[in-house]
Amino acid sequence: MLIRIITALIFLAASSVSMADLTIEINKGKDDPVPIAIVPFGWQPGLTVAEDIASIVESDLHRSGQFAPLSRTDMLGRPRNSTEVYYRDWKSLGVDYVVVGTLSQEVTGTVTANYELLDVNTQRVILTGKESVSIDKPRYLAHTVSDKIYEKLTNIRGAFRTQLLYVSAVREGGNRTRFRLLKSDIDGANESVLFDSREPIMAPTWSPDGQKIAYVSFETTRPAIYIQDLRTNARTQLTSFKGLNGAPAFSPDGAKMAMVLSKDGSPDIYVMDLASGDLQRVTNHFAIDTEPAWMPDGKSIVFTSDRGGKPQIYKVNVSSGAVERVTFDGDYNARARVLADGLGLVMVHRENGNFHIAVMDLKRNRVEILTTTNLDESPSVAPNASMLLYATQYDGKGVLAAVSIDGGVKYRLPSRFGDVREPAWSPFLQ
Amino acid sequence: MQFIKPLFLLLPAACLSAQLWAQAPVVDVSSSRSDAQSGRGMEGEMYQQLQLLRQEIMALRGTVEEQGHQLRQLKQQSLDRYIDIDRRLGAGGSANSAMGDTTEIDPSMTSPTGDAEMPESSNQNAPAATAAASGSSFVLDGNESSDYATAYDLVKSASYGQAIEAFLAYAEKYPAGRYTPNAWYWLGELYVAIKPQNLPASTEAFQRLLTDYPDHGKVPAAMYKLGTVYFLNGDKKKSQEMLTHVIDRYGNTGNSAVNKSREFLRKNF
Repeated sequence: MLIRIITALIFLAASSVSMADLTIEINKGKDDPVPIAIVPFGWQPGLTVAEDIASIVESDLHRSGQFAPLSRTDMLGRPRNSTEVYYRDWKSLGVDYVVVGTLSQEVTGTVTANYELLDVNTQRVILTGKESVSIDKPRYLAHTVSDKIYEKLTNIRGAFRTQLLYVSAVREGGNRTRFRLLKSDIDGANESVLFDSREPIMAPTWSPDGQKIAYVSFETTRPAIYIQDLRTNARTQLTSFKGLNGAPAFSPDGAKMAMVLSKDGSPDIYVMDLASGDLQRVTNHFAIDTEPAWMPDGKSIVFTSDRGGKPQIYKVNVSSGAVERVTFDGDYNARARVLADGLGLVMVHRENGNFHIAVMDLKRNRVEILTTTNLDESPSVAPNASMLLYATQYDGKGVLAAVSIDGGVKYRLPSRFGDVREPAWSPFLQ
Repeated sequence: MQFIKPLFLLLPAACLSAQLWAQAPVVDVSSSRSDAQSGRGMEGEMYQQLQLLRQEIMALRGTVEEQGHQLRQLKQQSLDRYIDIDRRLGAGGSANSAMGDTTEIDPSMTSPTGDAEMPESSNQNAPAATAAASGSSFVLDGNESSDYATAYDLVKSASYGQAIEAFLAYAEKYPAGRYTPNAWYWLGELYVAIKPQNLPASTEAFQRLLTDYPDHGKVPAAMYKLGTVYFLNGDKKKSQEMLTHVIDRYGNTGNSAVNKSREFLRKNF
């Protein structure tokens, strides 16, 4: 196990060179990940692809924590397709599955991967795939292959083609801070700046179709909610009410936006119809109601409230306004996000004075703490509910970290500069 | 700012009076009024009292919510306990005698896999189960569901020998019964769980399920188990073939038998 981790770290250290601002270190793995070999892909003579496809697939599967890729130096051969595979060799290396493939150019300006997934124990090809993408998107091609392999072996939809929003704060001279809203692939590559400001940016969130985002910006020196179209980059100011304008959350059908406003006194949950701009007050209490998140059916919203004296998660029915308390374990539960199947919540949970990320099973009402670090905040779940991202402190800096929903796999995504916070994992993207 | 200052000064007084209210609310209100000379002081005090009331209500609300939650938990616990006692009474002494037994029945395989494993109304089966406990033997005198429950209770209480007889009787009584495939599955499991094992009988039971009910939900699990029984019997070739077949045929379905087959192949071949 130790050797496996070390080889994994060496591999990651080598591969991280090609990555943008986020680097990934896996610091805890599953106890029995599935051994798999991703053989470097062969290629058609004359074709140049800017990325090492097999290496990206390897790192994707490794990051899921459910696979232990075989180091390339241990491979006894470099087969390019199933007819070149000697199963006995792979079996002697203790590998359960082998992926082989070749890259070719069938249409100018594109690259095509033909690949096969082989089961070493049964000596059979269990998946044959062909994917084509534009030549300038080799990483996307690799993530597609990763998704297909992951789906075949786990029966869970892969989320390697998803993206990530986060906020970075960089101290500049003269007591000034520069805030950036950033977007990257889920492995940290292809980082781009969506919005840049001298004033704080907070609470970025995705629309359910992944084409728009919403966030809070203080650019007018007062908090206001903005929507930004990712295709055109056009920004629209959605709210500028007196007092707080915060925590936007698109409804599951994308037609409404839940938010926190304090225009009528204390912070309460409101829902705005995005087409008409009509505003509905959903909660009305002198305590603080904040951090709304929609249940997948769009009929109710979970939120944080201290109406019971301490911050706890409550659920409100949007049409009737009926409120019920959801969390009872511990004296602090906040910032809930709902798993896509609606069967669970992830949230910030305080235990012994430390803030951890916890997952709550809504059927059994059981809370399980997933993280061991302190000051963990802002959990955001992958659309396939396999992992979640959160913000934490490491070496005195704000960093993003990921943990699998069963707590078995953890890794950090330290940024090369500044503090990064408030990760938001995208939905599945087309 | 001028508003805040007197408010700030009033704070200790208000806190103090809050404690006194618990004893004599009326007297205290009038005495604190005399402290506040001006109208502005009155306003500040009212504000302060409102804040205290809010805090008090929030704390009370929290307590009420938590007590309601505890009540629901207690209710559920007492219901669970009742069902548990009812079940144990039904199973009689057999549960105790089986305590030391190590069971080879894989609990993850016994969980319902979407098909009807246990009749839902287990409470109605209590009389049948009691009948089973009254003697050293069991009685199948109910309907399809309650008889299956009687046999299944014997598995749960680890009376494997009796469970075998019960499932055999069940399969005979209801040759086309709703739970007959499950009965064959259990027979296959039970012949391996008893001591000494009866591997030929286990093989036969699993094969019966596979040939008579090829589309039943228990088939993948039965195939996996049959593969392991072949292995126990020393027939490695057949075992490998069967397990490979499970992976090939059900690899896409996410059935737990697939992973188990893989693991078995990895460990033993």
